[in-house]
Amino acid sequence: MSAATTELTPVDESLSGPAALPPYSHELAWPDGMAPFKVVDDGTQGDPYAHYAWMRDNAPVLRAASPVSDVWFISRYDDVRKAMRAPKVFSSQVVDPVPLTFLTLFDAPNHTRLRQVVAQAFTPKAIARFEDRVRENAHKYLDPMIAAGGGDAVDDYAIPLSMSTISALLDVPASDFEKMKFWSDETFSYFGRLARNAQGTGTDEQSTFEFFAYLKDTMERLYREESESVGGHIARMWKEGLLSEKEAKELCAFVFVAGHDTTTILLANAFRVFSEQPELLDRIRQNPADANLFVEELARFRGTVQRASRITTEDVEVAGVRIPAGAIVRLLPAAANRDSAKYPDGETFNIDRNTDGHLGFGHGVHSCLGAPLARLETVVTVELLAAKLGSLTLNNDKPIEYVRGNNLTNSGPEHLYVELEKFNA
Amino acid sequence: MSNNKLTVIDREGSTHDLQWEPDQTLMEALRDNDLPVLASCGGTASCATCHVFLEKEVFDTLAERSEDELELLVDAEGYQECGSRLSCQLAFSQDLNGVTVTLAPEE
Ligand code: HEM
Ligand code: HEM
Ligand code: FES
Repeated sequence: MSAATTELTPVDESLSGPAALPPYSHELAWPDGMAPFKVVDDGTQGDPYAHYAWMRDNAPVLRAASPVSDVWFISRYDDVRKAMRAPKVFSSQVVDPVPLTFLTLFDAPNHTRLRQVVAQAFTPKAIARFEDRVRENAHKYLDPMIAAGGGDAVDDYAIPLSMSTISALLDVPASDFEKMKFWSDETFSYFGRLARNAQGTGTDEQSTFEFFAYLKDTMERLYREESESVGGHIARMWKEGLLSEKEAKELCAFVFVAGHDTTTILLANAFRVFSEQPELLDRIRQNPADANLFVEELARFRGTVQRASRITTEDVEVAGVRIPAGAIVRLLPAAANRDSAKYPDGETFNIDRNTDGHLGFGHGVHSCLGAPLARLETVVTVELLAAKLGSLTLNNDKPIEYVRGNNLTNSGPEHLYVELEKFNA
Repeated sequence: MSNNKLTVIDREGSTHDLQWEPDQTLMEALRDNDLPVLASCGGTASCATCHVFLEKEVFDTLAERSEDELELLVDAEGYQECGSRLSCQLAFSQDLNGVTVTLAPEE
């Protein structure tokens, strides 16, 4: 069978006895001025791409110490791709039993069953129905920013757009917005504590329960109103006994949280790239269809999800390093996406390159469910920025502030201050 | 180009007659007609949740499966050497008008 070349290399026990473990990240000779890569960011990894480049070349399987266990980081394209295609070896069920009904935490067959519940609502056909709404909202948030000469691309634009879109999808009122955002951040933190040994906020458990109570009330309402939204769909599954109340609430929460931060950062990164390649404003104004190229290259070059957590179910060799069974692994799609072995000159943003096969929305059974929606929001944004702006620059007095702390998954700006000038034809 | 006709046998054995539009892959035709085809990976030959069986006569007329496709299929539930395909890897073709497709069991 011709599949052999892409298969993972099983470890031959008879030849190799217990293999030596590679040195820890903090024992390696990192270049001057570059702090060793850590499991929990202490502020040196806000923009992690220099670390990734060094890792791809020098430590494509990097072992890092953490108080709980070793964590293995995989950074080359071929290795990350192979692992994402092998869910039986690189399992997503990193916590057993699974504490919350979040798709990213399940393997088949539960994964398949739960994903089926929400999948229909996220097909490109289903998402196309939201296009007008997204476009309308995008105008609504962008115009005042332009009138003011600029602002924070995150707080003034990306958060309102991603929150209003995901709220529309679940059919919760936009007026509950602030509350939802707070809850969603707190739930993220609570989940991090349960599933990833993160620190938590102290109030996250209480807030998560409030969020779930709110979602239950919302589902009762959506069921009564026979809502066609994702929320309505989940509510019906619950009332018909296909999902438990716990599963239904947590699935709603999951869809909400999964779609909020990720998209916010991707949208903010679109502003950033325009500031770095201002000629793209003209190009896309003249050829709006090129917005699609921009967005695929953006997902490759500055995608949001940096890491995907897995646990090995058996010993496995990757890039010549033997990873033991039961190891906690973080696949680094964002590092893989800049691997020049796959994408020549991979550290350059080039909308004319072939982006096929990029891992910005994942790969395999856990591929991003929200990708059609995230693409829609970002394409609309890129088109509008180009149509409306003559110039977009970063505000020199206020440097980019990066997301960090609990949220290691998603890397990107927490605040990105821009100056905007209207395009005058 | 006009639509193909397509007959689908689902996992319960019921038959469905569908239109397969020229701009759809077979997976898209199945999914967009609300058949339970999960297509988790969105059509990138990486999840095998769009696995279907074709009749041998039809199967034999198709181009070879890619390495990526085969790698997933050999591990998939119910794999048939001369029948299993990832439906996302099958583009529309008028030669496929009137074929019958059976959904493979879910894992
Ligand atoms: C509307 C917004 C979004 C929603 C609703 C959403 C939803 C989801 C869900 C439910 C999953 C888990 C799928 C599963 O485990 O079966 C997922 C995975 C993923 N998403 Fe998204 N997402 C959104 C936006 C984004 C964005 C903007 C990015 C990055 C550019 C992204 C990147 C990913 C990646 C890389 C994975 C795979 C994780 C893994 O392999 O463990 N998502 N998404
Ligand atoms: C698009 C959907 C999602 C994707 C792709 C995703 C994937 C990941 C990945 C890749 C990691 C980073 C590696 C790790 O530390 O395990 C992670 C960690 C984390 N996730 Fe998710 N997840 C998603 C949804 C959620 C949801 C719904 C929550 C909370 C409700 C959440 C909260 C967290 C937190 C707090 C961490 C902790 C990171 C740390 O400090 O170690 N994520 N997730
Ligand atoms: S849709 Fe994933 S392999 Fe076809």
